[in-house]
Amino acid sequence: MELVKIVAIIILFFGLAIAMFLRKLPALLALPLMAFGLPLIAGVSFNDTLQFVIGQGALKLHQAYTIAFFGSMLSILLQKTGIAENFIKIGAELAGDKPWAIAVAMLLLITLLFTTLSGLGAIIMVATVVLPILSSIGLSPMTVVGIFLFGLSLGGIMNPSNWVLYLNVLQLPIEQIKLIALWMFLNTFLTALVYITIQLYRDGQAIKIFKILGLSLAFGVILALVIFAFLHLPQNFQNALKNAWHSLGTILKTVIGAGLALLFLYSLARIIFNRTRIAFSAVTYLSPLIPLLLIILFQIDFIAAFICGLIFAFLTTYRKGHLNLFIQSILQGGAVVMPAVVLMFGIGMLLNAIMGPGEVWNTIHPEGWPVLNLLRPLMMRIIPHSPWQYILIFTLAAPLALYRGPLNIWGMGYGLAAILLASGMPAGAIMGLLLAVGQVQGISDPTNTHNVWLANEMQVDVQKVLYNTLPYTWLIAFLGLIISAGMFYR
Amino acid sequence: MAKRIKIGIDVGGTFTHAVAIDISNYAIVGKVCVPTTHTDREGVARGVVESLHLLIEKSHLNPDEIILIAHSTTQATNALLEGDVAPVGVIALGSSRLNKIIQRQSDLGNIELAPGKFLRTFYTYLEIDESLKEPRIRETISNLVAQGAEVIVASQAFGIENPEREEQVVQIATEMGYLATAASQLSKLYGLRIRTRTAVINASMLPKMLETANLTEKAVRESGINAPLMIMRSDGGIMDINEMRKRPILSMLSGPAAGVAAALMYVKVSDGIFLEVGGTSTDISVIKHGKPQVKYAQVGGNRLFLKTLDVRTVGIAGGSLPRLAGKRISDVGPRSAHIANLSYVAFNPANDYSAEQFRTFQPMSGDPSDYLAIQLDGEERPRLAVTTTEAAYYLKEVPAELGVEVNQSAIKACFAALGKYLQQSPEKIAHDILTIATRKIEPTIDQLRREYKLEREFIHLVGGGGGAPALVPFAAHQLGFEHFLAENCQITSAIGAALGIIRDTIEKNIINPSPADLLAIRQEAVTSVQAMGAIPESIEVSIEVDNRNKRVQAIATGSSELRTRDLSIKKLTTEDILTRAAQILKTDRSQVKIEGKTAFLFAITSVQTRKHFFGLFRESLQQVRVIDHEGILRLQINDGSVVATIAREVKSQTATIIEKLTTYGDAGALLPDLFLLCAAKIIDLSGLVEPSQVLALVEIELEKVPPTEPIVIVAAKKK
Repeated sequence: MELVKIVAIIILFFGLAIAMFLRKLPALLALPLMAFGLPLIAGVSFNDTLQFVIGQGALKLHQAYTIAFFGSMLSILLQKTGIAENFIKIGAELAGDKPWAIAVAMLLLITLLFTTLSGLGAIIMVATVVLPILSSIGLSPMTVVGIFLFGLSLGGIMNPSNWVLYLNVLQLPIEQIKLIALWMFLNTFLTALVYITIQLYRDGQAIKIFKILGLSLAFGVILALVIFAFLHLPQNFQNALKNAWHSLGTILKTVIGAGLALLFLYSLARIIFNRTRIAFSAVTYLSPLIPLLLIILFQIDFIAAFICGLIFAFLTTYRKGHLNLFIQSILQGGAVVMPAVVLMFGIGMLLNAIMGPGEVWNTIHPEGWPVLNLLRPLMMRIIPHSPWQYILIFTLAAPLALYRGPLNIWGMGYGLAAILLASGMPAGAIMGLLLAVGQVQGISDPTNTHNVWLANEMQVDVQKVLYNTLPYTWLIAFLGLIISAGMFYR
Repeated sequence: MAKRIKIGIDVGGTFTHAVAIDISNYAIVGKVCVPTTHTDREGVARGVVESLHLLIEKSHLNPDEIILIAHSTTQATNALLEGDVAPVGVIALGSSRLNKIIQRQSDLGNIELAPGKFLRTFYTYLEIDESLKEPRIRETISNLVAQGAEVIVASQAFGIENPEREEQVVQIATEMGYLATAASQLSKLYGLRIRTRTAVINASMLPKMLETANLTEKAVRESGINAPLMIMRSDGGIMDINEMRKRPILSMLSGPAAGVAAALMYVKVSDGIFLEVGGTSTDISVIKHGKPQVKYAQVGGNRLFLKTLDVRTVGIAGGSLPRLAGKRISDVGPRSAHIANLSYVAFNPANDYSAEQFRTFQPMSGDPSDYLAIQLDGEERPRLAVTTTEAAYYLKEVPAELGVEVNQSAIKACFAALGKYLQQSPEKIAHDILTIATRKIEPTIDQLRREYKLEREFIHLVGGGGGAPALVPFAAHQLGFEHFLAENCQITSAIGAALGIIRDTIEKNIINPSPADLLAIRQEAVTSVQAMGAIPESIEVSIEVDNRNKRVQAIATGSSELRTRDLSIKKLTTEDILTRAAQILKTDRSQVKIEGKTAFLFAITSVQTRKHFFGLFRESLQQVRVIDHEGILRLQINDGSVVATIAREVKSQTATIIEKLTTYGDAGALLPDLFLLCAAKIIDLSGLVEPSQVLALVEIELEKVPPTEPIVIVAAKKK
C-alpha cells in the first residue's frame, strides 16, 4: 500500500512538473492541482485537504504578496509620473557601449545589497532601480532577469541571516561555514560571469573576449583579495575595521535621515509655495531610492517604506489634478501584479501540501504530516557513502530542488538535512550539498516568489527563466559538490 | 504605349552586371557584364557607368523609356575595410548637468575599422549656454580643421529630443564649406556613444561617396536619362541618390542586399532561406513573412545604430576547389577557381582527360598545397579545375531547363579520369565533393532556422547567383528541404537592384507608446519614402513595438511607379487557385477552401489533423495560406483563423478577434498575430502589443478604403 502511494505521488509530482516545464499547463493551475492531489494520495482526508492545504495555503504567502501589491503601486506611479521613463532615458543615453562591464557592475551591486537584505520587499525595491538600467543598455528581458537572480543568489550565500540553519541544525563552527560559503560564492560568481557573457552574445552584443577575460580576472582578483584579507586579518585589526565601519554607519545614518526629512519638507514647500510649474525637480529621481534607504538604515517595515516612497513621488511631481493619477496608480498597481499573486496562492498551497500546515496540524495529529512521513523513508535510501557517490547522486538529483521537490530547502530540505545528519554524513558535506543544490532552486525555480515577481515585471514566462538558467545552475551544483566532496570526504 | 524599363546594376566582387527589365511583363530586354573597377580612380562608379552605356547601346534602349536606374555599390564596405576614410572633427554638445559623463561618452578617440586600420577623430566639447553663438561655433570648427579634420560631426546629449543645436552646427559648417553630419539625422535612438559613432562613420565616408555619387549622376544625366537614380541600401530597399549624399552609411552591404531584393521582388519568396551562391563564397539570409531579416551593424566590433540585412557569408560556392588527403577528398574550399586563376572544366572546350593530368597545388602563397587541379599536357602550371559545379552536373543535380550550356562530355571524361586517379568510382567522388560542400552551409542554415524560429516545413532553400545550380539542389536533397532556383540566376542581384523598392526605417525609443505616438512615427516614415520618390498610393508601413527594449520602429516601403504589371498579367481562375493551394499544402483539392478574398488575394484554409503519441491524441490545426492572383504564396500560418468582412466592419471584428484569441499564460496576456488583407496589400499588425495600438493602426490604414471594400482578417494565437 505504501509503495502504491509513493509511486502515485511520484507520478503526480513529475507529471505536473513536466507539464509545467513543457508549458503544456500554466503553473498557476498546475501548482494548486499538485497541492490538491499530493495530500489526498498520502491519506489526508478530503475535508482536511480543502481546509489546511487549499484554504490556508492560499494565505501562506500573504506577506509576500501584500508587499508585492505595494511595490507594484510605487512602480506604476513612477511610470505614470514619467520618473521611470526619464530614468531609462538618461540610462540609455549615457550608459555607453560597455554592456558587459555595466552588467557585471550591477551584478556586484545586487550581490552587495543582498548580503544584508532579504525578502521580496527588498527585491522589489532594488529591482525598481536596477531593472531599468539593465534594460536601457540593450539587454533582453531574459538576461536582465537572469542577472538579477544570480546577484540575488550570490548575496544570499554570503548573507549571515541564512546561516542560522547551519549553525543550529548542523552545529557547524562559524569559521567553517564562512569557508564553505566563500568557495560556493566564487563558484557561483564565475558561473555568473560565464552566464552574462553568453547571454550578451545571444542578445546580439559585440563580445570582446580578451577584454572580458582580462576584466574577469581583475574583478576576480580584487574580490578574492578583499574577502581573503578580511578573513585572515588579525583579530584586533578586524575589530577596528568593524568599529570604523560601524561609526561611519551611524554618521551616515544621521546625515541621510536628516537629508530625507529635508527632502520631504522641500517637496511639501514646493506645493505650498506653488512652484509646481517646474515639472521635474531633480530630487524626484530619489523616489525609488527612498524605500531602500529607509529599510537598510532604519529597518522600517517594508510596506511602510513603500508608502513613504509613494508619498514622496506624489509630492515631488505634484500638479493640479494629480491626485487622480495617484489613485489610478494605486488601483492599477494591484492589477499589474495579479499574475504573480495568483501564482503565489498556488505556491503557498503546494508548500502546505508538502510540508504540512504546521502547529495547527501537529497538535491534533502527533504522528505528523502524512506526505512527509511517506517520503522520509525514500530519502534514507539515497544517502551516499563515498565522495563519488555524493557527487554523482546529488548532481543527478539536483533538478529535484525545483518545484518544491525533495531537495528544495524551502520544501523538504530541512527534513532532508536532519535525515542525512542522522545517517552519519559529515555536517560540512550537508551544508555543501544544500548550498550547491540550493543555487538550482534559488536561481531557476519557477515556484520562487522572486522568480515569479521578476518574470512578471519583465514580461517573460517564468518557465522560460528556468530553461534559460538551468544549464548554469546545474553546473554550479556539480562544481559545488566537487568542492564540497574535496573538503569533507578525505 | 512606350515601353517602361528599369535598369539594375550589381557591383560584384569580380564582375559588374547590368540588366534592363520591361516592367509590364518583367521580361529581361538586355544584359551586359563588365569587370568591376575596384582599383580605378573613380572607384566602382566607372564600372557602373560603363555597363550602363554598354547596356543602352547593345539593347538599343531609348533613354526616354527608362523610368529608373538602381545600382548596388561596394564602395562603403571597401572604404571601411581599407581605412580609406576622412578624419572627422566631432563637436559634442551638452548642458551643464552631466558634463563629465557626456564628455566621456561622446569622445570616441580613434576608431578601429578593421585590423590595423583606424579612423582618426578630433574632439571638442561645447556646453550649451547663453554664450554659444555662431562665432564660437565657427571658431571651434576652424580649430578642428586646423588639427586635421576634414569633415564635421555634431552630436548632442539628448539631441534626438531637440536637434536644433546640431542642425545649427551642421548649417554653419556647410556655410564654411565643410561636409557635416548631425547625429540625430542618422538615428533617433537614445545612446549617445553609439549614435555619435554612427554619425562619425557616416561623415568619414562623405567626401569619397559624394564624389562618386556626383560622377555617376553626371554620367547618367549626360546620356540623356532623366529617370531617378537609386542606390541599394543595406536593408534590402533602395534610396534616392540624394539620400546617399547625406547618409552614405546606408549603402554598407549594398551588394548582398541586391540579391535579397531579387529573392523578394523577383523570385517572390515569402518564407525561406536565400542562398546567393557566387564563385568563391555564399551569402545566406532569411526571409520570413515576406520580410528580409535585419540586425544591427558593427564596424570593427563596435555597434552602430544602423540595421543591415542579416547576411552570413560562408566560404563555399560554385567554384570551390576540392582538396586531397592521399586518395581521398578531404575538404572543399575555401579557395575557388576564380581566386586560383583556373578555368572550369564544364565551360572549357577540352574533351580528353587522363588520370596523369591531375595533381595537387598551392593556389596562393600561404595556402596548403593539397588543392586538386588539372595540368594539361605540355603546360607549365595547372589551368583547369574540377569544382562543385562539375560535381553537380556530373550527378545530374542541375535541372536541364536552366539553359546554361556546359560541356557535358568533358565533365564525364574528366570524372572518369579522376576516378582512375583516386581509384574510386566517379559517382562517389562527385557525391563526396557535394556532401562536404553541403556540410559547410548546414550549420549556418541550422542556426538561422533556430534564431528566426522558422518552422521546418515552411523552409524553402532558394538559390540565386551564378553558383546556385552547383550547390542548392544537392544541399536541399541532402538536408530534406524543398528548393528552387531563381530564373536567370547569374544576374539575380542586378535584377534585384532594378526591382528594389524604396524603403526607410524610422526607429525611436518610446516607453509605453500611445496610439498617437504610433501614428506620428508612421507618418514620419511615410514622409521619408515619399521624399525619396515613392508615390503615396504605393506606400505600405509596418510598425513593430518592442516593449522590452522600449523601441518602436516603422518600416515604410513604396515604389516610384504604379504597378502596370497587374493589368497585363493573366489572372488565375478560382479553380487554378484551389489547385495551387492544394499543391502548396500537400493535400487533396477537396480539403482546401477559399475562406476569404480581396480583388488580388485569396485566403485559403485547410484543416489538418496531427497525431501524437502513436495516435492517442489528435490535434486539428487550421492551416492558412494567403495566395495572390498570380498563384504566389504570400503568407503562411500553421494554426490560424480567417474572417472575411468589409472595411467598415473591420474595427469591430478585429476587437472581437483580439478578445477571442488573446492567450493568457504565466506572463500575462499575449495578443494574437493579426494580418489584414486589403486589395493587394497585406497589412502586418503582428508587431503590436496593445489592443488600442492595433485599433488605431487599423483606422489609419483603412482611412482611404471605401466602406464596402472586402477585407480579410487573418489571425493566429501567439505561442
